[in-house]
Amino acid sequence: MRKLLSVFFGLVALALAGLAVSLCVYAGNHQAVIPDGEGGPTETLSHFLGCLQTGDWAGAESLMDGGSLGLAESPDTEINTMFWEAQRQSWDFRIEEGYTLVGAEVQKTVQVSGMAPEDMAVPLQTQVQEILRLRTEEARLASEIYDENGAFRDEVAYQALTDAATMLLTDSASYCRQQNVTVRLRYDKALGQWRILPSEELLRAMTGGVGNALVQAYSMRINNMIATAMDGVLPIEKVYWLDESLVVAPVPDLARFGASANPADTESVISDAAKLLDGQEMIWSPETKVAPGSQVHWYLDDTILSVTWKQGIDNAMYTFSEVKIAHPSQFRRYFADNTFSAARQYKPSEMARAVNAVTALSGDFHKFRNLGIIVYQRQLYRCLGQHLDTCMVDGQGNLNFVMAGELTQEADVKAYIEENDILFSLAFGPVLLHDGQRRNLDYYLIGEIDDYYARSVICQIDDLHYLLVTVNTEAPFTNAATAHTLCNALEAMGVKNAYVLDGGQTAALITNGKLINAVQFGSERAISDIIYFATAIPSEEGAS
Amino acid sequence: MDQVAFFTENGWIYWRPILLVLGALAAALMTLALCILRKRRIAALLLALPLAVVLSLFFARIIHWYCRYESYESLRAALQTLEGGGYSLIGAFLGVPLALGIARLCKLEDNLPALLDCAAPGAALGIAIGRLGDLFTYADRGKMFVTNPALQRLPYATTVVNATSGATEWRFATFFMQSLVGAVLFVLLMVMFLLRSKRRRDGDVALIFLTLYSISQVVLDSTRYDALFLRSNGFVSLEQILCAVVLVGAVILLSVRSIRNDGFRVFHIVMWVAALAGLGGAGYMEYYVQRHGDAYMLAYKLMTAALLLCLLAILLLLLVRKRRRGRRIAPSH
Repeated sequence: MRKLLSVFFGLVALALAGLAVSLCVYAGNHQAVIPDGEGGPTETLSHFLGCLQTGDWAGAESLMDGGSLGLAESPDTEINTMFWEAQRQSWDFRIEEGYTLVGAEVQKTVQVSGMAPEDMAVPLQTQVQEILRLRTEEARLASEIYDENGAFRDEVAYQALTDAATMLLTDSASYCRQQNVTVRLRYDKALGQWRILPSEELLRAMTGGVGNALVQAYSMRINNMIATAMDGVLPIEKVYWLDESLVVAPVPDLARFGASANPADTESVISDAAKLLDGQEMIWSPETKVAPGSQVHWYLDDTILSVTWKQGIDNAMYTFSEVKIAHPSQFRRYFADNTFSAARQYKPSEMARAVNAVTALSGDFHKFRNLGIIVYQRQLYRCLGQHLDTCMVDGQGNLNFVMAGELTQEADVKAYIEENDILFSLAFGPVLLHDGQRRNLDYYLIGEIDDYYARSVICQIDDLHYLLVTVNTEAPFTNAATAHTLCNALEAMGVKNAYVLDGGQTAALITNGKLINAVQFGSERAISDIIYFATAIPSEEGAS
Repeated sequence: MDQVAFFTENGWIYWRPILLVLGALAAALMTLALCILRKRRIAALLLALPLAVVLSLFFARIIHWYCRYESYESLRAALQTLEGGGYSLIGAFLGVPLALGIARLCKLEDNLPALLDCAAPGAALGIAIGRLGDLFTYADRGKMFVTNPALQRLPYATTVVNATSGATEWRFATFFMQSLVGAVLFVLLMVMFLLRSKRRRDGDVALIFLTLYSISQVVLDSTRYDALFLRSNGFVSLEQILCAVVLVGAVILLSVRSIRNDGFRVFHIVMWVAALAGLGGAGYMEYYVQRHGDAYMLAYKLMTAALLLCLLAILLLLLVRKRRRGRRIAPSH
């Protein structure tokens, strides 16, 4: 009897094992069935899209699972408002049958029709030219049309633009594009309802922008389109920027990356970047003596210049990347999985490629040690500022240094973040140079400052102008650097502000998704974060 | 993203907890079966099993909170709900023996090592089933990308969607390997359990389970991209540290037993050197693979070889006995 009982329970245990395996096989080939009738995901989505079409933003947001649409603002100019109204009228949605289940999220495909303002640039330009020609013919005096320099008067050009836009927008249907987007829904147990998850893809299809300031982003898009259309008639500067909430930056134009073993090949690049540099001097020059056998890498578009080179200094291999950006939003920080203290870690080059970085540098690897002040996306995540210098990056892209022990209370740190418009922080240190003054470095808790070690540093040269640095041992140079020799090198180059990041095997400098410096031990280490610089030109406009 | 099994009016049920419950049930039933077979007192098990569940959940949560405290609002928040966050299997290795120990203290069972022997095969079976639950999550995958199309399938690799770029990646299926190890251990332990041997003492089955499981985990946990680390040390994972402690403990325990039985011999020194060399070699290869991530194949092969040396030392300490010559006792006049 005893043996029978034992065998029975044993067989039941094995049967459970068999059941588990069967369930695994079954689940691999079947997705859960979602009841999709009244109150189901399709009805919820239909209601949501209906609110978007009628401009009921509050109604649409009430169906969302947090977040906002960012559509309630009004554009800042009359012409932007015209386009915005036409854009809204152009929206049409069609929900496709079926769904996909990813985790606990239902994904539905929606066909979105919306006006594509970029397609109007050429017709707008043609129309403006035609209107100006007619105005010129009708005018009695030249001074009615032209100013003292022979260019069109601003008010004449602007009126022509407005009239042309009005005419074009009566036929906005001709400029509509269709695309399929995925909208995700999640079931809220507490409310017993399906909720729409914020969808960058949907908002991009509707407005061309993403992030919290959608209408501003749309206005930027119209501004830039008009700038193209009015080229030679009305000088309108194109403006590009990135929303703070954007996780993945626009894809850089691959055709704008370059590399050469001859530094002189960068002369034309520097010359083309004159407007972006806006009179600022560069540390890089085509006369720089680069490390033998190395290449100079560059990227240039209207919003970012990046030049990366290797140089031997004090028998150590320095890898520099000098970056000039047009807008502070292009200087960004990324945590693995976009989450503080994420379970997973990645190599710096993997993260750089994931976010479309033009140039990236390994960060502070804050997950490795329980120290420092960690701010990310304006939120304070860790407040342990007793032992480490902190580099706080503000909304103007400036590096602000907080020395160890200056801010230790959470309330004080939060106040500092608020008062100084801090977006994110870096927590390694020490500060090497502050406004041209060298720090007295007798001791620092981490980073083995007196030892020859691979290192990485971020420097600010001027407004929106930075220098990323790594130091490694690489043939023919057999040294790395101490914090002191590193400081000597940066001082000699004229750097005024410099902050040390995690070194050793962590130190990695990436451009165009590729590792440039010779990392310690020959392969990258999986870490928790990077800093990077991205283009602000939207992928649709710039990418090749 | 965790895969849903089915929706109900109250929300959704995920596959992973279903597999975990099946694993725990199978472990409990197998333990019960073996206890009945070995005539252990069922009352002890009836107390220990539910206690083991509670204690295991508690320790599993505490350990996960300790290692990933910045993912939780507070310890209290971590303990107040079962949802969110995570659990560490190490908790079960604390909870189950503790529950059985409490049953022993309550005098419901007088032979704790025998009870642990009954639990060991069930534990292996439970791990084999429970680890399959990660088939429906993105947890417990390897750091290594699998780029060879021939290997882009189970048991070597599964897909993971990068949370930022949305790209699909093929990563080493660490969880599946752990499940396979559990299954193999289950079969091995059942054979050992069922084949009685005069040389085997109570507790040996459990000791072999812990030893073999620890050896496998030193390697497999090293491959994980979401291993748990102590707050003070980001190099060696908590699981690897504990596995090393178990292996050292096994060497000490078996050495003491062997020396008591047979006296101290050169053999013991040789075994200690071999065990330490094995552990040291494994430790060095862990450092090596962290520094030279691209050379992981070589590193893990050498790590495995080093651990097998340690295993050999442990098995020899367990199995080798000095031959005793027959002694005649002279009759008294």
